[in-house]
Amino acid sequence: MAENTDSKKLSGKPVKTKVKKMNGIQHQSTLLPIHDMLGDKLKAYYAQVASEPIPDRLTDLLAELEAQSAKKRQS
Amino acid sequence: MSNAPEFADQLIAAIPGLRAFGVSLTAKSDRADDLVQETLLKAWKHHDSFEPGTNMKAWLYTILRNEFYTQIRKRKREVEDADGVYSGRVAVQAGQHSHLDMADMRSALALLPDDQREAIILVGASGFSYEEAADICHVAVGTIKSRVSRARARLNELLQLASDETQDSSPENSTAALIDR
Repeated sequence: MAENTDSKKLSGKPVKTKVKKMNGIQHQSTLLPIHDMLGDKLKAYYAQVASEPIPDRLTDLLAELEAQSAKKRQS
Repeated sequence: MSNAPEFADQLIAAIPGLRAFGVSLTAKSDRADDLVQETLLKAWKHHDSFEPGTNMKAWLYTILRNEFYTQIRKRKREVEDADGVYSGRVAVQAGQHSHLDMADMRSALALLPDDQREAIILVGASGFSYEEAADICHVAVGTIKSRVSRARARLNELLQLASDETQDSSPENSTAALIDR
């Protein structure tokens, strides 16, 4: 049994962003290049739209596409 | 398509972000939903051209962006001064107080040139790196960086963030103030 692969599996998913802690303040060093007030406002705006419920027509569309491809697979 | 249910789940998971990107580009929910719908259809149709293991989010955003510009070209042919009509309508939407900030951002974004708007959204809100944003927009990383920088300056101006945030917004004076302390 290869120990290395096992420990990799156990460590879970890789951490994408290194977050350094300096004087109790978190600095995200790589992920988002914009950290100021404008950046916060932009992200808040974006998050608000993203939190809206998904319109039925979009979920219906995917359900339909999925059903079509299931039919094709069967035939 | 062998793994259709899995692919459908991935698409559903991507919808909120895609809608936010669409609304940020168009300033309109219904137009954004049209864009997302087209994106889902195209992604489904061209599922085979997606290489597993590569960045699916970036792939989907690229499709939505292409669709956005295709629609813009169509509209420009239909109405020559679409931009003027568009900005006017956006400004009227700023009505309710509770949504004022959001409406401000929406109309400010609408006033940016297309290339600056997409750059600052991808990098500042969608969570893409400069490199990924450059790939999505088919330009060099330096180009994205300069677009983001211009977009920030313009947005700050439009939202008057600089003047609200500090009493004296000129960079020389704020640096001097910091040194004095």
